[in-house]
Amino acid sequence: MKTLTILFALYLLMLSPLAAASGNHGHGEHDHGSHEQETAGPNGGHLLKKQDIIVEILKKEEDGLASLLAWVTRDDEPLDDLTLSATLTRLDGEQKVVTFQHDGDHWQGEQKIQPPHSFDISIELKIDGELEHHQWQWASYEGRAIISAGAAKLAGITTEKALGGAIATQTQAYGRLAIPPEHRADLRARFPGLITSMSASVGDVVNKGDTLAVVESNDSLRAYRIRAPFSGVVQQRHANAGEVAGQHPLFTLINSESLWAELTLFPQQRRAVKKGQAVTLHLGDDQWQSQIKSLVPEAETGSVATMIARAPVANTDGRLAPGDLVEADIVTASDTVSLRVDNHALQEMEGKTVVFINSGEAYESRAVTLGRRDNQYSEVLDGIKAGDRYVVKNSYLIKADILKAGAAHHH
Amino acid sequence: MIDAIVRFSIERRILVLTLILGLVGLGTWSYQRLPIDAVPDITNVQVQINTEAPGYSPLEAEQRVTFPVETALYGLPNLDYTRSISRYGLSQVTVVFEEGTDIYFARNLVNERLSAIKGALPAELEPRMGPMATGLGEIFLYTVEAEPGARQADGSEYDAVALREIQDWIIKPQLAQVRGVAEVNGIGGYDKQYHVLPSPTRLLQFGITLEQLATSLKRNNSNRGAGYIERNGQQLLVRTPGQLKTLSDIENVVITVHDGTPVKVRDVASVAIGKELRTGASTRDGRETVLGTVMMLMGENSNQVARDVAKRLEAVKPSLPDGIKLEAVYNRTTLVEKTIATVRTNLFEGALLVITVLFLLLGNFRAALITAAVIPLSMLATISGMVKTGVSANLMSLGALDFGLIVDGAVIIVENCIRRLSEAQGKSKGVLPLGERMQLVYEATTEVIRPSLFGVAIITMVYIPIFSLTGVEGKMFHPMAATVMMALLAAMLFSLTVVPAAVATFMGGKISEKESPIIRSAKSLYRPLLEKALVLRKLVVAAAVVLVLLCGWLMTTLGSEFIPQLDEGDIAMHALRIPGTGIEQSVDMQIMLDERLKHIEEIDKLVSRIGTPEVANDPMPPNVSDNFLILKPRDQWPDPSKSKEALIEELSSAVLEVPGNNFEFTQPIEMRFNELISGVRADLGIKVFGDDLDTLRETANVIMEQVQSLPGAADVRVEQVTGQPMLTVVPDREALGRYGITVDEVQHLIASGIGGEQVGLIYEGDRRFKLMVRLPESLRQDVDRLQLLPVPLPGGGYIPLNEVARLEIKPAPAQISRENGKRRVVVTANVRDRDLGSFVEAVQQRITQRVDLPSGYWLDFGGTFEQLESASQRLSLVVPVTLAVIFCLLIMAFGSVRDSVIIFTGVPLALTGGVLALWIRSMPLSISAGVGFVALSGVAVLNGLVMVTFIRDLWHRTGDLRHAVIDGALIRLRPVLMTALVASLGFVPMALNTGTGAEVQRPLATVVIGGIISSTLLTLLVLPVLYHWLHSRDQKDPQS
Repeated sequence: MKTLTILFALYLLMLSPLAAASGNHGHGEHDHGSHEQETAGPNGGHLLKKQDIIVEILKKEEDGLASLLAWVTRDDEPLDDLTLSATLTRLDGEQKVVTFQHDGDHWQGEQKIQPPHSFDISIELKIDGELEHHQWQWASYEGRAIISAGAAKLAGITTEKALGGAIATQTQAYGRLAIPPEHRADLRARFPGLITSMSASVGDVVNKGDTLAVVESNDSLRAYRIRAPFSGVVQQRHANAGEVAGQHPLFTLINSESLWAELTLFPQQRRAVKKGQAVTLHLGDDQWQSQIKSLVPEAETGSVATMIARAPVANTDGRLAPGDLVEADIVTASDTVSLRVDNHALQEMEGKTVVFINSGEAYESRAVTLGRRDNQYSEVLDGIKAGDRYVVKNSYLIKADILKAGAAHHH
Repeated sequence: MIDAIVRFSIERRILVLTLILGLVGLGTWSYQRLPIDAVPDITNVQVQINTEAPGYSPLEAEQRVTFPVETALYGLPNLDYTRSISRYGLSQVTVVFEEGTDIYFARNLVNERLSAIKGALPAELEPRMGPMATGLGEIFLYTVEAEPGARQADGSEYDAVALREIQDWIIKPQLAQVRGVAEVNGIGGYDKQYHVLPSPTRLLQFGITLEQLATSLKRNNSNRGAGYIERNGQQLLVRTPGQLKTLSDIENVVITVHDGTPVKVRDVASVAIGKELRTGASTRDGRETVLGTVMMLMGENSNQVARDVAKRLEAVKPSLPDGIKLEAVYNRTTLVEKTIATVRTNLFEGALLVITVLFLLLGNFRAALITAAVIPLSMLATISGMVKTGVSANLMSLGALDFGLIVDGAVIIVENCIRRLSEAQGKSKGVLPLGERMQLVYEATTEVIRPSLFGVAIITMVYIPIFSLTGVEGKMFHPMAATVMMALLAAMLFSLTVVPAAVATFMGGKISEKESPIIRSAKSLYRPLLEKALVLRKLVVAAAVVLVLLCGWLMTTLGSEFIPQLDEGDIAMHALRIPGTGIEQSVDMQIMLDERLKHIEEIDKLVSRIGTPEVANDPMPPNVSDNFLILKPRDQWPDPSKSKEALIEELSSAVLEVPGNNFEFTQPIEMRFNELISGVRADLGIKVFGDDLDTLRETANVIMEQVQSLPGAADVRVEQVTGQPMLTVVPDREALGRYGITVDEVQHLIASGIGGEQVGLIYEGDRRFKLMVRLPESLRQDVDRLQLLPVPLPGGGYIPLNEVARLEIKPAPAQISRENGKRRVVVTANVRDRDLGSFVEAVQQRITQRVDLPSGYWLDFGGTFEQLESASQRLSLVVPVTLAVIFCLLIMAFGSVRDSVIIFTGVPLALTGGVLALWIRSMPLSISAGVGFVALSGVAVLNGLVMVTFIRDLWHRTGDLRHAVIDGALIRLRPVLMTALVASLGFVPMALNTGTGAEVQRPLATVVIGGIISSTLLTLLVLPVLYHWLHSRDQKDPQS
């Protein structure tokens, strides 16, 4: 029966690896990223080794500032008599030196490091004065992508130098075109009397001083002329020869060669819009340049407290008509800023607005603080320097490339 | 009874032989009905419920659609579990039923529940069940493209809208009629829509609201039937048409009257043919295209359906406008044919080898033919059985068939008959009369029938543990075990009936007594060896034990894989971009990727599917694309010997040059299975259930940290749930109240302005297109301008949107996953260098100690460790029981425990060769190899059985143990060699094949060949030695 027991054991042995193997199926295809785990030290830092010396460097972040911590051991014994320094080189070539001080069981980097915390680190270790000298280098990158020049060109990635320039903040408003009050006149007979002739009719173009009608005054029985006070068009004719002119107007004369755009400003825009600001008016595909001439509160209609901003617009070719609804872009502020970036360059990463700076084939994200913005540019207050090359078009691709390791497909 | 059957078969031999014809007919008929596919179907019984909810964000889709649908499904009979995802514009609930549930029954149940909740869902939404297809369903892909320079009827070039229209209205209706097609699913291009794009300025000008515009379009676009009248006995039907037909019809719809002049649509809006807000796109070789996927109805024959579809596709071509190119990209037939070719070559070459061996060893061509005839016959019987039991023909089910094994029983019988016949002829110096021959055949058959039947029964038995596998493994290997068992049983039946009948009928002539020279030289070699072994018996047994132990150790060093990877020939690749990537950006990135892949010379065709197709059977977000890389035939490769691994390596380094993508490589069918089965595929999955998404995410992150800190944890991840930036328009209730506007009005304005509002359909014959009102693109895309979108006031006038609402961009959930009616987030982990069971325990302990779950939140542990546990539990029960049953069978056969033990020793001895063969070819241990071992144990037992029976009979007759052992062994040399040779040679083509599907068969064949060589040597040497040794005590009294 012994043999039998052995046989059972063998058969089971044969099947057990198969059962054990069931735990492993389905991997392979689904493991991606996160394999390039660095040699993490006991404190979670980067391990450097040379002969019997082990240096562990940890990058620690607190309130956005990073500092370096180091542990130096020889044969697992902490070393004391040494000088340690680190040189950090950023993408734009900027260098920063960190020196270390002994602090309890570890060495503390004395200098705090401003963001971005992405650099090549070079560590220099001197033991016993100058007797022993070691150097290490490695890359500690955050938010960096490497894209070959060819691929970048193919992808349509373009870069530009970050420079200063103008920022024109705008707001939009709608408004109707109206005839300026001085270009509209209801012509009345000065003295009541019989209208003897009416020489102008609706639609007639008249010049200043043209006789429009002749009225015979009831008092003097003398005929007097009614002349056009300005050049314009007869919009309405209210009377005919033979009628008696009284209080009623005879003609309505208008001149629509120049019109007012009466733009309605709502509470949120009111503060920004000032007299003298430039306005672009749009109607259909046409546009006209103008300026804000006056700001008047609108007669209270309902509960909306609006202001009317008036901007004149020339209409010599007669394409505009009073009553047209126009759209206006009002430049509320136009400043020259020391540094601005194209709005296409802006992306969101981890809740921060970033731009991507470029050096050679390397691209790196820089969190930026933005100031004023218009529909093309944004002012940069902090985060990049003037002269930095940044990605304008297809900046999304850089973001996608930096974050791609996290892209996964969960069914 | 067995004797009776054999006697009947010999006496009524003509009848029996005629029955063969019937079997051939049945087999051929069944073959027409046999579903053939490349791989077994591993999809579970599931029903997908897709609800398209245009414009709904994930949160709304979940709240309004997913939740009511899920709730409706509570308490369904045979329900296993439900899971759901809610995405932009889509809610998908997947209902998984217990294995074995009838799919029609399941769909009926679901349908019934769905119709009951219609009222609980938003009125315009309708939940639909997904097509009735399995993971094998995507059998045919084609693209619709315009040739360069081709023009539409109006002179413009074909754009993505026009191509989609051709797909939807010309191609799809024709292909959907092909028998066995469940659905034709289009992706890419844009659904054609009629767009009315109002300009806010002009609306303000006339004081018209979006709503007024929409209402007027709705009210001016219908035909009405009005009954009939009779005039002078003639019936006249009455109708009043009013449908809009053309763009200018739409432009001329009057909205209102302003100062006596009608204001028409064209006064306030531009009307154009526009594009839908699509959720999916497709590219082909770097250009946008329209891709159609033909899905096969569950249970159909994919080979047949794909072929029919291809044929119909050709028939569709003439009906297409000039310049439109319709081309098949992926056709399952190719793979199936390749697979079948592999199987066929293997079987054919194997059968040929078997016949050759039989002829060489038996020295009689007729006998060889009779034996070989069992091969096609049992094949036909197996096919009939497969059709009957619903097992489909594929690599797995046909892959394990070795005709060498199958004919073993017949070989033994034929060999014995020949031996007896030639002996008898030698005695009577002439041809035997029929009656005598029949008697002789009967005796010869019954002499060996019992051991060979037992043998076959035992081989069949050892396959039983495979049936205890469940889940995916079960679905993969049950067909294999079932097929082999059917083939073996059929062969057994034929050995009982057809073989003796045929031998009696056809072996009438002179049977050459001369043993073939091979056997003679083998015998002259064998006898001295056996005699030596009997003397050095301790050494022989010790060597055998050492060998077994050595191989046992060797086995633990072999790698292991559970499910073999079937090479489908083509490559499927997921390109993953960061969540939140828009569909158009994704298309741009895809085109860049295509441009790079174009330079890979092995690729023939390159198609991609981005986002979700029309029927959301695989609801991918727009940032994910499925790439199908259809490879050229190997002989057109620059280096035809390049392995697929090397090619994938090359591909992955090439695609990584393209910025912004992450990749996963898989294969078309495999990918589909993954999408459908979709469970947690890591070793351990910790599901956190609860209500609040933020709390869920935080809890999951805490758990992730804890798990990460445990030794052995690898690839610990939290399922990504956020990352979809959302522009939120938050209405300011106070301001709204001040202006007398309701929240609903603002929402309606935003929804119809940005998302668009469907206001009717435009009919062009059968074709129907949506009529939409939507803001012009320039405005929709500009968040700054949206701030100033005029909101009409009740008393006339307007107010800019930013006065009454706040616009915010912030991250939001891209997808909400639920399981069994509750939101969940999964933390997954794999285990490295540690035993899975202890790891899971440690995780559970750590979480109880360190993680404080908020009330209303709970955890569920799942993952492959569950399957592993249940599989090992079942196997550790079933395997010993099976062995015990086999052992009992042996004892029944011999009435002797000792003899049974002797025979059983053949098993480990046989395994040694298999292990060695694997080790030599550096193959991992897999289920395929395991099946090989299973087959081996059967063969070993069979050989041992026959050998021991003979030796025992001789011993009982002569009373001289030593002589009995030597003579018996010598007599059995020929059949043992024959069965060994046919079984192993039959597998040689399989072991060496490199064609499609060979990877499943190779380990199996390797194991069997190696094992049979060792088992034969050991049966011939160790077994007689053991028998002699164990029985030497009883030599005086053989009857004990």
